[in-house]
Amino acid sequence: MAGGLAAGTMFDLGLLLFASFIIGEIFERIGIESIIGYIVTGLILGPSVLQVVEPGTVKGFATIGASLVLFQAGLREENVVEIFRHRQGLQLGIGVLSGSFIFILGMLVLFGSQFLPYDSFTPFLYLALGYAIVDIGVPSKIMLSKGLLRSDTGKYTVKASVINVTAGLLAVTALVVSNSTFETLLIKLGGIVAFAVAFYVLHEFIHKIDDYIIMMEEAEAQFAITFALLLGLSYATEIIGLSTVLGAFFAGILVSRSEFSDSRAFQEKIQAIGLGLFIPIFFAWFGLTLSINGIINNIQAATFLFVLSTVSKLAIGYTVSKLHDMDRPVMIASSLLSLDIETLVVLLIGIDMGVFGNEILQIFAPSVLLTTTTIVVLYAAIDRVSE
Amino acid sequence: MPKTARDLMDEPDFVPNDLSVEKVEEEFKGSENTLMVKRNDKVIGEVHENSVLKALIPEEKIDEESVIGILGLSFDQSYAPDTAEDLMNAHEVTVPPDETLGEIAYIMDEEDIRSVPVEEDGEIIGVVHEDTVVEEGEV
Repeated sequence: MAGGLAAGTMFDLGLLLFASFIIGEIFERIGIESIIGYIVTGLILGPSVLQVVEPGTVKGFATIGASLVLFQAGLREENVVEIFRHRQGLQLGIGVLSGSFIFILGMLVLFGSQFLPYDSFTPFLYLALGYAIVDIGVPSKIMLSKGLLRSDTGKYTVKASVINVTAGLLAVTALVVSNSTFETLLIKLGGIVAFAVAFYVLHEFIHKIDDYIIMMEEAEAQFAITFALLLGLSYATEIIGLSTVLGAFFAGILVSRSEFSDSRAFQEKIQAIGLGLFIPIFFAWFGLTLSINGIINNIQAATFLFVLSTVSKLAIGYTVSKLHDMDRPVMIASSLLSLDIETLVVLLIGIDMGVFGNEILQIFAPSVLLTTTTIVVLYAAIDRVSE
Repeated sequence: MPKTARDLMDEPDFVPNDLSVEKVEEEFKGSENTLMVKRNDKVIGEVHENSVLKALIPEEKIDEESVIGILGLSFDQSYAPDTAEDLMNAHEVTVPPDETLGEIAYIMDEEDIRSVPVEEDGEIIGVVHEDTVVEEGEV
């Protein structure tokens, strides 16, 4: 093969991908999200256990994977406005986000420096926001497994989760922009304004441009242009001092305005390259960066954040759904406890902005397992009580 | 002379966006297999017979990523619809009345759609269905 290509990279990628899908499948079959399986695969193959794959080898692929996660989120923003019209879901989603944010931030300001390796306000802001955001996958999975997705309870819970995460990502965008010092902000302001203008122009006119894209003779033109836009906007947002993953999110919103993004062929290609390749590698890379010692050393910090997040979400979720006269307030509140990729995205943006070092990944990792276990235990209790 | 959208189209059947999913099913029990959805007198999309399929899939067969995506900033409401708008496909593909049968077949294949609205002077004047294209076309 050509001398410029590294055989070692191919082996690492192939092994990581194969093992991730096998372990992900096993996790899915026992009722745990495959994403956790990918992370565990990385942990096992990485420097901490088997030492077969180095995180640096696959970092470039993981970066594209992270961008594709946000890109796909932006790509499906079309009906978010409609979801926000669900009044009770809006109250629950925003209630959990704002209430948990205030509670966690307050506790971090008071006690954070005793439990966490941080003592300034900015990391506390990012942590409070990240841990106030819920996961959408787990509530959906739970509602589907209970046959409740089509009930009022299911729609209420899933829509509240979508609203919580969307508002949370908007808040983190605002936080990133406002987080610059005044001097830096002035220097960057030109770049941000130029980006905003370019984004607005593309947003308003992409449906006119795509008539030309659809007519291109090159069979994969739509896909290639989309990918170039995704990478270009990610780079542009990094240059102007925002995070690359936010750029990917904006690219998703832009492409969702085009006609070709609705076609099944386009959706299938994006899904295949994302879910079948880059996104599993991103999660496996996250696992590679973890070390068992690092997790053990940070378990106190992880437990502290897990407790703050769980207590506030349970209390607010239960109270609001009870006020809304919903049938299963404990079940609704419990399904909002999970911490997953949505929180990870906020923390990765924090790393990108220099707010955290990689230690935050060691702090976050046990939270995924702790919240999943808590939900399983709570659901077992709910089932027992209802029997 | 090749057949055009005007020769192939049927009368459009309009329904309001907030029509209940039960009423949508009733509409499909007639001869209709595509309904144009209107909000404030403006056509905002269409519901095809096969759009109802997702609402009929048993929940244990549905993968949550299909409903919410990987990060899930959306909720595909056609899996749990209340109204015609939840089932609706909001794509903006239309054809002019003089579009030929071959071009319509090409658009349906490219866009993976079963019917296409015919637009004249900003108004939807008809709908061309997949079965009509197949019946009237010559291989």
